[in-house]
Amino acid sequence: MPLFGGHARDTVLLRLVVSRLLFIIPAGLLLITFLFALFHIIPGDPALLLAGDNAPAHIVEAIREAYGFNKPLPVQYMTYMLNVLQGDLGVSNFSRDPVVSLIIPRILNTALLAFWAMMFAMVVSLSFGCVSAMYWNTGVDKAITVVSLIGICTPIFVSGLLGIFFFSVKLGVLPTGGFNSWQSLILPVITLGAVEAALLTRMVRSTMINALNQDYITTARAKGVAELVVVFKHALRNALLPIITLFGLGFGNTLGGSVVIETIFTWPGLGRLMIESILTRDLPVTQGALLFFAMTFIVVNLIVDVLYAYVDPRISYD
Amino acid sequence: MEHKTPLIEVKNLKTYFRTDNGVCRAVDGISFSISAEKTLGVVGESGCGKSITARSIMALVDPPGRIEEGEILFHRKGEVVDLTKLDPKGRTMRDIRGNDIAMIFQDPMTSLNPVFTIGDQIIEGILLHRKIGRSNARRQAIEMLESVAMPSPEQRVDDYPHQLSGGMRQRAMIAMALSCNPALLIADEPTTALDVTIQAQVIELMRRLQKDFKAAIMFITHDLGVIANIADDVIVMYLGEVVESGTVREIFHNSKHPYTQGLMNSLPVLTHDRGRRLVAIEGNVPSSFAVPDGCRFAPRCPHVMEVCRQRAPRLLDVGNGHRAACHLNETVALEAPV
Amino acid sequence: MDFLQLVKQRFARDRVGLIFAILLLAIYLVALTAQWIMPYDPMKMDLRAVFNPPTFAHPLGTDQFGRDVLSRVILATQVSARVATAAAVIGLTIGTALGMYVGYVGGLAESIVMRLTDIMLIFPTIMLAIVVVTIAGPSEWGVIIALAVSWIPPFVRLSRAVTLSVREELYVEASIAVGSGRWQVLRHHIWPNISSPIIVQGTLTLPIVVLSASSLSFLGLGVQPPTPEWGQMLNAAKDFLRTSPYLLIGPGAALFIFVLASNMVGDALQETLNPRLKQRK
Repeated sequence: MPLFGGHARDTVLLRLVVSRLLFIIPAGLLLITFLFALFHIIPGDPALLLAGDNAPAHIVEAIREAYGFNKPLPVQYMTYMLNVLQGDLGVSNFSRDPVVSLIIPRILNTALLAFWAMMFAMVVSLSFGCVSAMYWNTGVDKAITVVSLIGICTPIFVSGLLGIFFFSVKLGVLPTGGFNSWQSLILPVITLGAVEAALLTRMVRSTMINALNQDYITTARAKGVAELVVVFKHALRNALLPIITLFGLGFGNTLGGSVVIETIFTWPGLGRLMIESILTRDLPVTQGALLFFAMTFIVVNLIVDVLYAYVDPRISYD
Repeated sequence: MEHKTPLIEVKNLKTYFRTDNGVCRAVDGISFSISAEKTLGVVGESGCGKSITARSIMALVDPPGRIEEGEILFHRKGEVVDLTKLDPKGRTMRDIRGNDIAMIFQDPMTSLNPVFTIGDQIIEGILLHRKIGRSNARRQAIEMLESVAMPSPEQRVDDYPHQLSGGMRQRAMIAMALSCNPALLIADEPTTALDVTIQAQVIELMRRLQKDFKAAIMFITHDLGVIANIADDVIVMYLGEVVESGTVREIFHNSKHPYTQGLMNSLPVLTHDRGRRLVAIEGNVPSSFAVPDGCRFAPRCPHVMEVCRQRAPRLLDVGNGHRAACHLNETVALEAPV
Repeated sequence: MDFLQLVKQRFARDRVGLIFAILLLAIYLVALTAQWIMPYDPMKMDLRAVFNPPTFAHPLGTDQFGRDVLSRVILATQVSARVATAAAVIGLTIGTALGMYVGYVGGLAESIVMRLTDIMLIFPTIMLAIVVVTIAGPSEWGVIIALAVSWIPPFVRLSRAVTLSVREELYVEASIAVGSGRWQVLRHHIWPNISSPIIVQGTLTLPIVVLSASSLSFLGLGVQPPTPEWGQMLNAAKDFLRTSPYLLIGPGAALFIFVLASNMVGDALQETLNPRLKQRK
């Protein structure tokens, strides 16, 4: 039984998946190379950078030995690369804890936040976008468009702070920040999701309007298909192609926005850790955080590519 | 007049588009009828309202278009339904579409949904109007593909539109339209987007299917050659009005309207001598937003008279069920009943 | 320029668009004349008048150092307008030039540049900006460079696409046949076709750049105190939400209005360039 809808397509799609997976390896290596380059691009002595400004001289020397900064460049590079691949991302400048142990718990928190925000955004944008397209240019459509516009133009931190002000300070219903209970999820998720939802609603609307203007929609109506079926089966299935790409980009945006949200709501996530590490010049932590974020984006990009090929029956060659 | 069973009677149909730029009188008071199991050819240049007429019958006119006036009487299984009075999105009209009246379109590449197989699209149509199981519907779909001479129908039924050639796609569309055995098939320029050789095949196919399925056809085209091939009766449209109607013999051999004559004269004919020039109709079609007073064809008519610019001519009977709207016929014509 | 006439026509008809265009120009006017129109010295602290809610004397109140919020918002307008416009213009210029060049000459250069562009487009703007700030250090120039760099890829893509399509036109072939050099072709044929979509894309980029710049400053990675910046001011305001919520109003509203106005103007320009189907078929 063909997996993807046809034996020929099966092989082509499988080949695509494999090639994309293989792409991750050089991408990852390139990433690690870039992170290594940071040691030398950032102005200053790398050992000092890692030791911290107030470290005693023998610690600075120990670090120089450990990372091999006194050795030729290729040796340093290989040392770093091998360490990272074995899971050793160094230690924090300040706490001297291994970077990996600092990062792992944070990743889960950020993932939770981003996941639920994205769910919210997808559900809202699909429903309101379709409704907007169906009732194109009527009062309903215009109202939805205005609300989306306000959502797009309001910066995340403004809406986040307003949310905190109304729901925490004034009404006291929700916590101001931190991650203590499921209620802590509500404001951050909705704030983060709402911005993405506003952006996506607009785009879902225009892709749906495009789809609804196609000839095959007239054919479907001419067959006697009910209007709701026309919209949600005939049009949406076609609009799904560009929408998937939009959702993929949207997830990237959401992860980017999570950095800000985590700061506002003091959410114990990877984004806040990264920002703090930049402000305190804790390079190893910054490198670790960047590594995880970047790999996530690359993987998401891959998933979107494969998903797109799966959904579009016209793709027969990569 | 020959006695035929009327299937559709269009009476004084007016479909207007009210936009910010003014009112577009796409269809401005036309009347004609389609007889059961016969083919009506609808001829005219682009923009004369032929497609809008078809869509008005199917109640598929998109806003800001609207049927403003008139009746479309459909003789459906014994009773007579006025299609203009039905809710376009309602149950009754949806029952009629695809089932009693079906429509095929000009460009089969864009008219078929690219993300569903042609089998699925045909089956959808069948299941909408017949309470049979999915496997039965699939069998019927394959049979339909056979009847439209689709090569290897059992394989093709699972193909996507982009995997078929232009001619095969149009066959698939015809199969889809005829799958519920409609009384009327409306074909809106079905051969215009096809190569000439494929055109001939598709027309031949439609003639055969008409006999097999006992359907009436409303064949819309700007190509007089095709009309000569397939139509029993013809109406000629110009700028939203019917300017001439009659049997295909009468129209071709005995046209009584300068526009129709102009159309025929602009056809290149292989048998005539090379030196004969193509006679084009002078001028351009005016916009339907700004319709001239009097006869609409007057600005381009080689036989124009003073009265033409002042008074619009009415559709008059000129014998043998042949009608034309031209002042030139006025002395010999009787007023035809509307 | 045909486009300019179309734009004038468009704004003559479209009242709403015109209002936002005027609003945007007004904001830039404020940015240009900030030094003269500020009622108070934005840096002057007055520790006897901290946290005053809005009054007639201080319409937006005073902040945690007793500084007049309105004056700071006005100066911040200049800062944000400067940062956003500089970043957008630099990104646009470099990206367009690069895209035009590789689109025209093709070959290895094109492959390399497009590969790099594709890779950069995987990461959201803010991430790229954070990386650059990590290297360059938090500062106003850091933000400008960071945002300019992250906006080069979209402009490369756009200008390359237009260049590719124009390059295939017969009149370009004809021009080369009579001996036009690469530079002349780029200037006379490719550029006129590119200028309108680039300008439209630039205007659409502006609101996103402003938001990114403010986000960076909010995070502490951008414009440093005491220079006022909307995002930075909101960061400070978040610590005093309970007692002095009015501190949100000035920078929040200013940011919202700038983003809204530039969005609307960008939309109007885009519709002028590609008139969408106004009706269903």
